[in-house]
Amino acid sequence: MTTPLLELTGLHKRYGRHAVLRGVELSIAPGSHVGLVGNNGQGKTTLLRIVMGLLRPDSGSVRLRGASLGFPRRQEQKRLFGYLPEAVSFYPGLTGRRTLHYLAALKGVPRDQVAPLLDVVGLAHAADARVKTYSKGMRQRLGLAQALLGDPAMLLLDEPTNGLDPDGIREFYAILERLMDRDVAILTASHLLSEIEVRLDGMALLRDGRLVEAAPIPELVARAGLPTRIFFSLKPGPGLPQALLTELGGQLSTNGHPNSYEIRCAAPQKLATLSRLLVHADAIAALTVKEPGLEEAFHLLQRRAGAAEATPGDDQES
Amino acid sequence: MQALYALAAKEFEDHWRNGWIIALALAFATFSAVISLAGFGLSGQVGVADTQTAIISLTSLVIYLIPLMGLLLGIDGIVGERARGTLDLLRSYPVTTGQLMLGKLLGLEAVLVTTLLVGLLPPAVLTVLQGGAWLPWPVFLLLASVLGLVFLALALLVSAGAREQGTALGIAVALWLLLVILFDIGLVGLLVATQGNLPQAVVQGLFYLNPTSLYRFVSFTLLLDAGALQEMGLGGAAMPLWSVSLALALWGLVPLGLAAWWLRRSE
Repeated sequence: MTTPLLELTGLHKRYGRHAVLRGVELSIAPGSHVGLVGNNGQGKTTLLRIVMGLLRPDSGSVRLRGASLGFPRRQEQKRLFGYLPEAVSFYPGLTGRRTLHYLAALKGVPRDQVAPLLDVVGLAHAADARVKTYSKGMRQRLGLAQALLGDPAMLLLDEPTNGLDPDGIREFYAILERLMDRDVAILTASHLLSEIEVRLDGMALLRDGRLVEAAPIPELVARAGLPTRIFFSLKPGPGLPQALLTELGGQLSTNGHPNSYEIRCAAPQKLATLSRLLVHADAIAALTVKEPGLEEAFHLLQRRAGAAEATPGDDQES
Repeated sequence: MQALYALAAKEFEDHWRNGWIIALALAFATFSAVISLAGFGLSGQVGVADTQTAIISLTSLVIYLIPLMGLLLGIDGIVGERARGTLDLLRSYPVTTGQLMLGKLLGLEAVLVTTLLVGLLPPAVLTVLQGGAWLPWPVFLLLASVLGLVFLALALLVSAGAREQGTALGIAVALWLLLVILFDIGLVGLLVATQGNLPQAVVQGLFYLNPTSLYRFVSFTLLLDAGALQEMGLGGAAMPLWSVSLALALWGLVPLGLAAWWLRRSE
C-alpha cells in the first residue's frame, strides 16, 4: 500500500447549528482520480474548500504527503494544489492568455508554461479572445488550465462540468483522462454520477456530512451486490434445453419479444453462466451483458446508509 | 516580488482599459485649471497665479478630490473580487493577503499618480514659465500621492471587511464626508463653542485624527514661505514635522495591515 497523498481525518464543520461535515475520513493515493459524490447541499464544496485551505475546519486534520496543513494555509503548501472553484469566474476583460499569465505570476510559475497548457485544454485557438466571449465550456477549460499551473500534486475540481452540454462534458473528461499520465491526483466533486462513471479510480459518497462509502469503483459496485444481467434472444427452432434455463434462472424478458430471456447472476458467476449458455451458441440470435451501474450501486448504498441512520440508537453523533 | 508586480500591473491595466484613468485625469485637470485661473482672478494680477497662490488653491483641490478618487478607486478592490466570484480563486493562490493588499494599493496608486501628473502639469508649467521655482511641484506631487495612498488603504480596509459592494460604497462616501467635510466644520464649531479656550494639546490631538489635516499641515509647512504661513495662521505651529509625517504614514500603513489581517482570517 502506497502512502496516501492526501489524508483527511475526522473533519467537522458546522455553520451555526447546521453540521455540514461530521467526521469525514478520506485518503487519496498519488496519481489517482477520486469522485466526491453526493446530492447538492451535502457538503462537497465545504469539504473541497477546507482541503484547499479557504475554510477552517472545526476539528480534524488535512495532511498532504504526511505533513499537516493548517489554516490559514502556508503559501508553499498552497502551491501543491490546483483548485477549480464551483462556477469559476474570471476577469471578463482579460484574454484567456493574459488571465493565465497573471495567475502564473501569482503562483510564481514561468510564463512559458502558459502556451502548452492552453494546448492541453484545447483553448489555443481562443487564447487571445477576451474571457467574456467564452462559452461556459471554454471558461471551465480555462479554469482547468489555471488549476494545472505549476504542476500541482493534487487537483481539486468542484462541479467542473456543471452546466456543460454533453459534448462539453465528454471533452472535459477526455482532457482529465489525458492528465492521468502527469501523475496528478484528482478529487472531483459532482452530483451527476452517470457522467463520471468509468473515469474514476475511486469514489467517495458524501451524505449528511459523512462519507458513507469510499472505495475503488468495482469494489463499491460489488459491495452493493447488484446482479449482472444477461439478455439474449433465441433463433426460431428448438431453443435451449428447458433444464438449463431453469437452472440458470432464465426468465422470459419483459420486453415483449417471445424468444427473449434475461438471466440475473452475481458478478463472480458471470463467466461461468456465459460459458454454459455459449455451448448452445448456435441457438442464440443475440446476447448482451449489462453490468450493474455505478449509479444504481450509489443509490442503493445511499438508501442503505439512510436506513442505517434511521435505526434508533445507531446515531454516533455525540 | 513577481506576484506583487503582477497584482499592481493588473490593477493599473484594468483602470486603463475601463477608462477610469482618463476620466479621473480629465476631471482633475479641469478642476486644477479652473482653480489656478480662479487663484489668478483672486490675486487681482494680470497673468497666472504665482506658485504660492497656486499651491494654496491646489492643496484645497487635492484635499477634496484625492480622497474621493482614492476611496472610489480602492473600494471595489476586494469586495469586487468577492462579488465577481474571483476572490476564492485568488485566495487559492500562494499569495499572502499582505501581498494582495500591497499589490492592489501600488497599482491603484499608479492610477492616482498618473491623474495627478496630468492634472498638475498645466499649472506647474505655467508658473515655472513665469519664473517660479520648479522644486515645489515634485514635492507637491509627492505629498498629494501620499494622501492618495492613505485613502486607498482606507478604501481597501472597508473593501476587505464589507460583504456587499453597495455597503462598501456607502461607507466610502460616508468616510469622505466625515473626514473631508464634516471634520473641519466640527472643529470650527468646537473652537467657536469653546470660544477658543480649548487647550493647545487637544486641538493638536484632534489634528492627528484626520489625515487630510495632516496632509494640509505638511504641504503648507514644506511649500509655503514664512510670510504665507503667517497669513494662514500656521506661523508658530508647534507640531513637529516628523511626528505629523509619521502620523500620516501610519494612517496608510495601519489600515493596509488591518485589511490584510482581516482578509487572512476571513473564510
